[in-house]
Amino acid sequence: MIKEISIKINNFEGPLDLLLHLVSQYQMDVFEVPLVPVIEQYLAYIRKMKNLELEIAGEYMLMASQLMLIKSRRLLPTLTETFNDDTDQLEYDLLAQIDEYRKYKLLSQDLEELHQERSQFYSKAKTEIITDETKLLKDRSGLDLFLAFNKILEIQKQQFQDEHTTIEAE
Amino acid sequence: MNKTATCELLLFVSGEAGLTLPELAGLTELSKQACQQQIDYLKEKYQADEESALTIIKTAEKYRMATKEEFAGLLRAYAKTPLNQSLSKSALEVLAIIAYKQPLTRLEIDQLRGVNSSGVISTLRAFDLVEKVGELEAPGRPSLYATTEFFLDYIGINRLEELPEIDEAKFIAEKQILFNESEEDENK
Repeated sequence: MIKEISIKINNFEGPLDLLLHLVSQYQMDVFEVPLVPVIEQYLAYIRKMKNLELEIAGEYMLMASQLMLIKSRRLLPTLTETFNDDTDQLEYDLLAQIDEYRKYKLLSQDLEELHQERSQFYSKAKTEIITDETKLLKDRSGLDLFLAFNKILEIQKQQFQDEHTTIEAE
Repeated sequence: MNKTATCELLLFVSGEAGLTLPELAGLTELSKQACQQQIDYLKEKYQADEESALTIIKTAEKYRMATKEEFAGLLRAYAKTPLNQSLSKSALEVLAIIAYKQPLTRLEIDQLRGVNSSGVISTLRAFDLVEKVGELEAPGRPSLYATTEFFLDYIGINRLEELPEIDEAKFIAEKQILFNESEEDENK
């Protein structure tokens, strides 16, 4: 049974994030999770999203096709030993990928916590001291000037985005 | 000139840029040990003085004069520096991957996350958290990325070795917090 989908695709950082979410419902080691039901849920999820005419990133589609391959191979009768091994390898690779992604997702939260602690401390900008003896080093070129201004623009753009992201009502 | 005052002066002037112990020692003409003592003394003096808003912190191996933690709320609205701003979830993910696996290429990051990361990388580069550190000897000569010194300051550590370890137990505990789902409707 697929439970009601209460979360939007935008809540996820891509297909691995969505898979991780589906896998984590089983509350067991990633490598013990029965893959076929997870695959079915994933595909159902994508279908639902399409029905709601939500934008789905191409990456989700790519993942869907990889999952379909795994599922179809699981359902086929075993022809040879190698066929079986290949299928197992496909599954293992996918689970390993989910597991690895999970690690970095967790670590990114740890980094955010550290940053929160650090951001309690404020400093002032460096004081520019100018004297008559100050000599220009002339170690900067036009490119440095371009990059410096570019950086300011980039940061401003990012800040504007962060502050003006709105969610439209249905 | 008083030694303590000299150290305080230099830390004040350098502000957010901060100073390393060797730099301080060179400017004050004191030994590194003596400098360290002066800094510790200053910090204790600030901490003991309730009428002072200052403290000294050490990040990325540099001493920086900063305001005490309890004033953060008051300053949040007033000061908006990149250091005191949070990153998006995706930016944090990419930053974590680069921090732990550096140096690595964009393709490796993409494979790990399953999505394209080029936009996020340029954001992180603009904030000076990551930088190009060379090229991989492979077809296409892809750039290799690593974290900067500012990254250390950003998360308040001195060396990369101080990055937190992966906590497996934590995963079980927080598996569904993100999605606020109760367990009843999961086990259908």
